[in-house]
Amino acid sequence: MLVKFSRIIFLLLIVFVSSIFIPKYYWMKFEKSIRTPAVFFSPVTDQFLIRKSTDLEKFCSDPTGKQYTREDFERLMPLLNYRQLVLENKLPDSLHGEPLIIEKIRLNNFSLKIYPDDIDFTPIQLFPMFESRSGRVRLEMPDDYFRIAERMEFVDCETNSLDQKKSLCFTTFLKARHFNFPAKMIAGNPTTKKAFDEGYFVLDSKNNLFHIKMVKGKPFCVNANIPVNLDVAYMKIIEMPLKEFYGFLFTKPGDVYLISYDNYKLVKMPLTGYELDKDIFAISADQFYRTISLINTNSIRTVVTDRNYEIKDRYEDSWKDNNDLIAGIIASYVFPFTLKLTDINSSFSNFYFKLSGYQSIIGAFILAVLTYFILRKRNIPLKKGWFDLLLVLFTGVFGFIAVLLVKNVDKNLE
Amino acid sequence: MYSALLYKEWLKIRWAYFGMMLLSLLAIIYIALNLAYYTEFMTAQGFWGNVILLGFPFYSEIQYIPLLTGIVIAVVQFSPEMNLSRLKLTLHLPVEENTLLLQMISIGFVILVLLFALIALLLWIIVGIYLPVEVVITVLNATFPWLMVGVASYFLTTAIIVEPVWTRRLILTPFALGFLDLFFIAENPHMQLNLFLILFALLTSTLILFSGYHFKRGIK
Repeated sequence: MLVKFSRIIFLLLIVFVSSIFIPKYYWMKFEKSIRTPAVFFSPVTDQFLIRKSTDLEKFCSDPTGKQYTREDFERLMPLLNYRQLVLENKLPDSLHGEPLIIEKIRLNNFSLKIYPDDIDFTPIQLFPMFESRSGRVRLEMPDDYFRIAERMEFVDCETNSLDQKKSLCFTTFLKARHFNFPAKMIAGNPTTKKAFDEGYFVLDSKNNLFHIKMVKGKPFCVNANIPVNLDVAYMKIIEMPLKEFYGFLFTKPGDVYLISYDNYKLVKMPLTGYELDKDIFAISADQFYRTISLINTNSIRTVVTDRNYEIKDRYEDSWKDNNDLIAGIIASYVFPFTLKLTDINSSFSNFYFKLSGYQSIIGAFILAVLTYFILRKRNIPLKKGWFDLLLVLFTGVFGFIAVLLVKNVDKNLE
Repeated sequence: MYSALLYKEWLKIRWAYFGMMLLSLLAIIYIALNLAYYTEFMTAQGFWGNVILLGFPFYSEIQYIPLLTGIVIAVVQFSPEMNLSRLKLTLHLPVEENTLLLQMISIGFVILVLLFALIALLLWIIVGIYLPVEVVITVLNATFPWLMVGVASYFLTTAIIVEPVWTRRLILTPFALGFLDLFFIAENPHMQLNLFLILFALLTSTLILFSGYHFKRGIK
C-alpha cells in the first residue's frame, strides 16, 4: 500500500514538474514578441497617431491609415518632441493660440505607467521621513526610518533602536489629528531624486487618508477627508513641479483618482473596465491634453481629455496575442493547464495556474485511450490502473509522460 | 531497535554533518562580517536604504548550502549501503522494510531540520543586530525556500541512490532537479507557495519506498 502511495507521489512529482517546465520551454521556442502600439494625440491636428513599428519612413499612422514619417511625427507632436524641434529650429511659436515656451512645455509634460505588479507588491514597511523644508536645494536621506503600527516609531539606522522622543512627538501629534493606528497603507516616493518632498499619504485603520510629512523637524498631519468606502488598492505619490496633484489613488473596483493640490479633492479619471490585475495604466500629459490608456496583452483603450479631465476623444484597438496565434492554439490542445511560479502581473512568486479550456479535453481523452492500451500491455487490470487513467484524463500530456515513465507496482512481488 | 539503527546511521553521517555545519557557520560568519563591512563603508544610513528601498540581497551566501547539505548527507548515509548491496542485510532485520527505510530517512530528516533551524536562528540574530524586525522577516521569508530545498534534496537523493536500476535513476534525476530548481525560482515567495513547497518536499520522503521496493526484489 505504501509503495503504491510512493508511486503516486512519483507520478505527481513528474506531473507537477513537467506542467511547469514543458510549457515554459515550449513558449521559449515559440513565443512571438508582439509590439504593443503606442497611441498619441496630436495637439496640432487633434487626432490620434498610432505607432506600431520602428520603421523611420512608416513611423506612425492616423486612424484613417495615413502613414507618417518620423519627421512628420515630430512636427505633429511638437510638445513631446520639443527638444528635437528646438535643435532643428522647427518649434512653432504658438499652438491653440498659446505661445510655446520651453519652460512651460517642460513643466507640463509628464508620463507615468503603473503596472499590475506595482500594485500587487508589498514593500518593506519602513520609510524614510524627509525634511520637507530644509532650506537646502537637495533632499537629504534622513538617519532614521519610520513605521506606523500601534504608534508611529522612528528607528535610528546607526544604533538600530527607537528614537523615543521623535516617536512620541509624532504619535501624539497624529493622535491629536484623530489618526487611528495602525496604518493600513503607507505610500510615498522615498527617493532623494525629486524636486521637493510631500511626505506620505497614509490610510489609517478606519480608511481615512492622512497626509503626513515633516516640516522643519515638526510633524505635519492633515486628514484629506476622502470617502472611507473607496476600497483603496494602491497609491502612487509623485512630486512634480507642476503641483497639480500629489499622486494617483487606485481603488479595487478599478477607479483611478488624482489627489489634487486643491484641498486634497479627488478628481476621478474617466475610465471604465480597468482591471488592476491585468491592465497597465498609462498617462501622458502636455500643456493641452491628457492621454490615458489601459493596455493589456491584446488591447489598448485610450481616452484623451482636456486639462479638466473631460473626455475629448477615444481610441480602441485590439490584436491577436500569443494565445490566438498557431503556437497558442496548439498549446491549448496539448496542455490541459500550465503552472507558473512567477507572473508578469505580480511581484510575488506563487502558483499561477492557467486552465486551457475545452479543446484540451480532446487531447487528454486521446492520451487516456492510449494509456488504456499501455496498461493492458503491462497486464494491469482496470481495477488497479484506474488512478493512472484518471491522472491522464485530468492532466493530459503531463500525466501521460508520468505513466509512460513509471512502471506499475506488480502485485505478485509485493 | 530504533536506537541501534539511530546509532548506526549517526556513525555514517556524523563527520559529514559536522562538516556541513561548519560550512553553514562559515557562511553565517561571512554574512555577519559583510553586515559590519557594509554598515561601515556604505554608512548605516546608506546600507539601510539599499536593503529597505532597493532590496539588496546581502544574505545570498547561504543560498546553496542547505541544498548541498541535503545531498551530502544522503550520499554518506546511503552510498555505503549500496556498496556491495549492504542494504540487503539491513533490509533483513526483523523490521518491515518500509518502516525501516522510513526510520533511516527520519534520522537524516531530523538532523537536517535541526541544522536549518540553527541557520535560521543565527540569521535572525545577526540580521536583527543591524536591521529592524521588518527586514529580519523579509530575510527569513526569502531564505525559507533555500532552507526547505535541503530537505527535498535529501529525500530525492536517497531515492535516487537506493534505486538499483540506472534507467530509472535517469528518469527520476531530471524531475528531481526540476523540482529542486523551483525553490530557487521562488523569489519573494508568497505564504501559500512556501506551504505547498514544504508539503511536497515532505511527500517526496515516500519516494525511497518505491526505489526500495525495486531494490529488495531485484527488479531490473
